[in-house]
Amino acid sequence: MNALLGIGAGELLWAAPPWLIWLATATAVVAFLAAVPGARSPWARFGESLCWGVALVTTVLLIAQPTWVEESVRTEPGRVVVLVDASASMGVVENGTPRNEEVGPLLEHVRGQVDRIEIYHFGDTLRPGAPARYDLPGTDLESALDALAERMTGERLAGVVVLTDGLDRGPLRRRFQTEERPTPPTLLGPLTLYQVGDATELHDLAVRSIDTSGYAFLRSPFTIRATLHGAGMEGETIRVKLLQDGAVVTTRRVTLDDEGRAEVRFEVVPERAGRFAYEVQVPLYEDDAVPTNNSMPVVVRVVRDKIRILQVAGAPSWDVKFLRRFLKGDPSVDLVSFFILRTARDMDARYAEEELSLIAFPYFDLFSTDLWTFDAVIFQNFDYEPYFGQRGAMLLENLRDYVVDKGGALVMVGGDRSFGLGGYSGTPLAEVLPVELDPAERPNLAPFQPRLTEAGQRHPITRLTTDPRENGAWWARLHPMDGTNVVRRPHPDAAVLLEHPSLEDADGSPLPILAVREAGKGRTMALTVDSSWRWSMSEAAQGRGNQAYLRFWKNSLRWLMRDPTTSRVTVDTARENYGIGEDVRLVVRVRDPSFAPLEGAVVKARIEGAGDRIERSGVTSAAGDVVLVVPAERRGTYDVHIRATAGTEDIGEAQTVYAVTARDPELDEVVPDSTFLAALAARTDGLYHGPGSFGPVRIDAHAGRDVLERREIALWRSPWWAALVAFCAGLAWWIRRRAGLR
Amino acid sequence: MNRRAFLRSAGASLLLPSIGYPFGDVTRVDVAELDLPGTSSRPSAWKRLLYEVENTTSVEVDAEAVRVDPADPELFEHPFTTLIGRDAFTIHEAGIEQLARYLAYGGFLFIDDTSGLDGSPFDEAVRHLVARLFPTRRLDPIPRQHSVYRSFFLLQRPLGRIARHDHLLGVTVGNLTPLIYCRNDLSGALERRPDGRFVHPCVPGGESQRREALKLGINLILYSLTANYKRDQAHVVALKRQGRLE
Repeated sequence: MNALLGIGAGELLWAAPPWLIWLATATAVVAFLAAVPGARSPWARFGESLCWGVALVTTVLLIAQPTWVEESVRTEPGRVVVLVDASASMGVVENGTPRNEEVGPLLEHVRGQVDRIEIYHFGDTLRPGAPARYDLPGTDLESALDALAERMTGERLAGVVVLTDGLDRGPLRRRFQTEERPTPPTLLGPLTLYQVGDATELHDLAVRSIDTSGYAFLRSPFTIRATLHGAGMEGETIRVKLLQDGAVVTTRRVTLDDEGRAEVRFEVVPERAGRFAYEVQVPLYEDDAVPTNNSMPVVVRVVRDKIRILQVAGAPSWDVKFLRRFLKGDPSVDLVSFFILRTARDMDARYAEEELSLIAFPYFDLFSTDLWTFDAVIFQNFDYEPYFGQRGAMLLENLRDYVVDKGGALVMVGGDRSFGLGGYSGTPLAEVLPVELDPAERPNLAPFQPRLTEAGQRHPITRLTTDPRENGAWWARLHPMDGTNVVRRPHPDAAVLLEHPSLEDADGSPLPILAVREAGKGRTMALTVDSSWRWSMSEAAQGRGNQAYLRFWKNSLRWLMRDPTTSRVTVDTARENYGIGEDVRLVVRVRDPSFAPLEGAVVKARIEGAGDRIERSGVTSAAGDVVLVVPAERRGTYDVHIRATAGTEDIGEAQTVYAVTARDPELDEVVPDSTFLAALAARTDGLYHGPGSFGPVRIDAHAGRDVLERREIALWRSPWWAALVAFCAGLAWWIRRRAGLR
Repeated sequence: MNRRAFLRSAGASLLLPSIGYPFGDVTRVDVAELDLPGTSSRPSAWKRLLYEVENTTSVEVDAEAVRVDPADPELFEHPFTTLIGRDAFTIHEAGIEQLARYLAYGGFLFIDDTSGLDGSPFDEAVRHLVARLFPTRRLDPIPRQHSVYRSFFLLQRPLGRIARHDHLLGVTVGNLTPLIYCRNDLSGALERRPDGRFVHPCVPGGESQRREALKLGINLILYSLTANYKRDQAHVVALKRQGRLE
């Protein structure tokens, strides 16, 4: 029968769904029963019923879609699979050429030994084909072998060939390094390992890691610790540099131990608050295998523990009292005050020194060694000459350098011992003041109401309230000042925030009362009156508290300390250091002149570092902020420059810095691990071929794979079945008509 | 600019460049007496004290004391005020309210009982006043380590015309003591007649006691100006090193 149908041994399957078969059967039965009634001869009844029965049964069978299935198994010879390590360590340069250039000849060598090979490459995952680049992250041989076993289910391979430097980052190598009898990986065939790369030809000096606490306190020492490794440089002494913002801060010499390792520590005393990029750098020699790992950046956030302020007053006064009271009351301020309680003319022989609680003014220490520990120095009606004596010029030079070079802040408050009256004209200190001094100054003692300048209306120091109109009203109603120093003119770089309503300076402009200036890295402020305390008491007298006074001085401190809140445009990132592959979210905030959130400002960001230049842009939301996302793709320090505009108005700029510091573990270790490869081969009864060796591939001659062949014959597709149905139905209809039925 | 101010500025700039004066009279340190029914007035005592302050310290003063009603906003022009007397006194609610605000925002009040009696009517009125000014604080003895005892002179006892009490009383808010109360008649030790002679003898110590009273007065002025300055670490360490402070 099978021969008749042209089929062999197999199995009959019904392809149609059961519900269709049952529906067809039921329909056929109903049709048959409908055809049987009617008067006719027994032969006619028999003949018609037989024909209908054959036609309907055949139709049901056709609908059931009978299919004949034949299956057979065939065995093919085993294949050899080659796994090529495509991780970044395979790109290490040895003797001027990348390590991976050995892969091509090795593949040819394998091809020459076996007929059927399939090539895959791997890093942390298995991918088909030979690698186009050697930059995959991680090297996980065990994962690759597991993925291969899954892919080749049921197949026994003739051989598994691995081309690698042995720098496996997965659990397999760790097991072989730590366990006496490590569990071997899943293998579908005998293993042959070809080592790529030669340890004897490798020299690589690398900064492996940098450790900081992430943040440091201003003017407090903190340590940057770096671990180094020099492959092929054991016992050598090298110079390690610490750079800050690209400039060398210090250098250390360290000697690598027998395993090529060393640790170096740098102690740094940050002199300014903010974010600063440091970089540890080792020398780059000509034959260095991985030049990119010879330096490592890290960004450290320097925070203020407290703002440390030195207040020096020439005499106690109400002005001194109220400023000290404000500074002492601010928990963020560490205040050191020195008031001159007695001058040479106050020496009274009636009182012995033992009766007095006075101490010597430690001016020399304060303005030499201790000066650098302060964030701000306030000279409040203080004349230096009686105390500094011959050292005056030197100590005032220190103060100037403290501002210009160290970023310190300086405030000079008026009085009969200040500005020109204090003898500061022509001194180094005068070079950094926001006002030019008159050596023959004559103060003006007439009360006056200071007037807010145009710059003062916008400046954060004189912004007592956020509403500009209200702010102007506040300044207009404050208590008049009792008199003022008369300076020559504002410095060309200064911004005058308050001016005299009637007096003029040497140029005929309104006399500056409050002026500020950026002097080098630091900021300075000149307030030419000694009665700002009245802004506290007069407001309190009116039942309005002392907010005007407190805000003025708090604003001043913030501006002097470069508090970010005193800028209309700010940019920040959640962290200072990012790992490769992470997203860096730049949060930009833009404020209007009253420092309310500004919606709709266009923000453009330029991010530069590690040879990259990335640009981003966005528009601020109703909250005045916009988040710009930049991927951290390459190791390095990145400078962020932000510019915000609104229409034609240039609102301002902001900067920050971050580092992509996550080390690339692939390049942490570059010396090929022949020990691991040899042990792996031994444990799996495989073959290990060292660097440059083109040994044989271990083959399992009995390996192969069973191929299942399946043949399906759709019996219902034959046209004869349709013809049979038509014939039987037609014959039944003819018999029925002959019998006189319809 | 008035004539006196002009002369001072001329002197400062031409003759004595290192000896100066604050801008305007109102910036100088002066004493204001609270003008309340039942209280006393001793302007000559304050004049004597401020003269001594001017000659002994670097503080620039205006020696003419003024009397001011505690309800008058002018009170805030004078951060150092005194209240002296021997009898009961009264103060209206507006005065209490403003005086409390004055002390809260940096003003200083020195109270001096001139009676020399324990539990004098003045003392009773003072305690009532303090209770109204500082409802949540007490009038406590001021400890020996307080800055008022070392703000210029190192003092052991607060002496005045008499030496009945060995401590001052005060109300301390945080690190500051805006109200100090002396019951040894300090102003009595300083009060002078027009001819320059002192009005009252100091008992039992005589002129040496008067000298100590003067030193206390100077310390009070300096304390009102510098508050707890003398408790700064630099001063404490230096004075201890010199053996002047235990």
